[in-house]
Amino acid sequence: MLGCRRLVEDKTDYRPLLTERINLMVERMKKSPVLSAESYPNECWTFCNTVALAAMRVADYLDGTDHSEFLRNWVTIAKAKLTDPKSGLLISTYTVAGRPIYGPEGSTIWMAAHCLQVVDEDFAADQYARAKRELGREFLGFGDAWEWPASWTGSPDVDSGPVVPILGISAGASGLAFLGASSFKDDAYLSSLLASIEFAGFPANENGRLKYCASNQVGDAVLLYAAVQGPVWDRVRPRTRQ
Amino acid sequence: MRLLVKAWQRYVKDDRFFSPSGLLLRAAAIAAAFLICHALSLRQYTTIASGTAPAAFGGQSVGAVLGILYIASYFGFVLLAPVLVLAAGLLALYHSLLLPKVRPSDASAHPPAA
Repeated sequence: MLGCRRLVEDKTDYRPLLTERINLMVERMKKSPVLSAESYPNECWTFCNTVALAAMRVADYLDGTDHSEFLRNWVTIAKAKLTDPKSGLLISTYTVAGRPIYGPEGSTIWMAAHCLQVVDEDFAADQYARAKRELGREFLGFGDAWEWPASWTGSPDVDSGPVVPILGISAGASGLAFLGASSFKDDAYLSSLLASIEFAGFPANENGRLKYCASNQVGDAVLLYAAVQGPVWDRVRPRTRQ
Repeated sequence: MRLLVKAWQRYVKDDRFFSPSGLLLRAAAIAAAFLICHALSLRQYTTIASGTAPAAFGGQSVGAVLGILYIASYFGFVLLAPVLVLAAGLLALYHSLLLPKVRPSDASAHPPAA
């Protein structure tokens, strides 16, 4: 957030705050053999760690620091130790030592792929393609996303939200799929997701403001971010940096 | 309970159950239920669909029930009611075009046996 705020309009007061946080994240992540910090005791979440990687890239762009070696190493380790062998998707949770706790989850992978776009674009695109194949669905113009691939059995939690029985539709995964489709310019899938939310998200226009009643504050934030993201990521992508 | 079951069975066996007017009546009842829920602003309680407990005057469980009520009436209105209306139309068309009509002359030519 600090980095993105500075990208829009830099503020000198924020620079030491960002540097302090980046250094702290790198220090903690380096303590783990899989270069990951804990989100909860002995529980590392791919969601949180890929956000940290994206923050490092943003800091590098802003302040001229260089975390490229760390980022390369993280991707190398993730490919070797943090992916589900059946689907090739990044798992969502693991111990500090890298032992898997939960497998791939829709409520994690779309955000992780988005963050990895500024870290390793090819790896991110591969993760998105796999997520779309394993979790994304389109039917009669409507789209949604599963929380788990067919090869993995999970149980609903606070991240997935309720999962519709039989259909397997997950509110959390489908909401974050907006971000994935928007990030990777997958217009067909994005349109189908939009059709679904217009049909079953109970939109309400109040005083010129659009609100989806079936959503919540986190869902609203994700949808808004999916709608506006792009320009900041375009600036910090490694290939566009001069 | 047995009386209710028997009344339901009689209703189903009644010719009016699968008549165009019967189907239209049910579509209208579903539409009315949805319109009432919508007019009462129950849409705001559908946040239950994302696993968020809605705040309501009678507590979260009341909010959840109201949300489920709205969701059920909405999907009834957009999915079930149109099917019933189409079915009523097709049935009416079938009755008027394909079923053999009994002419008054036919009726008088074959009087019921005494």
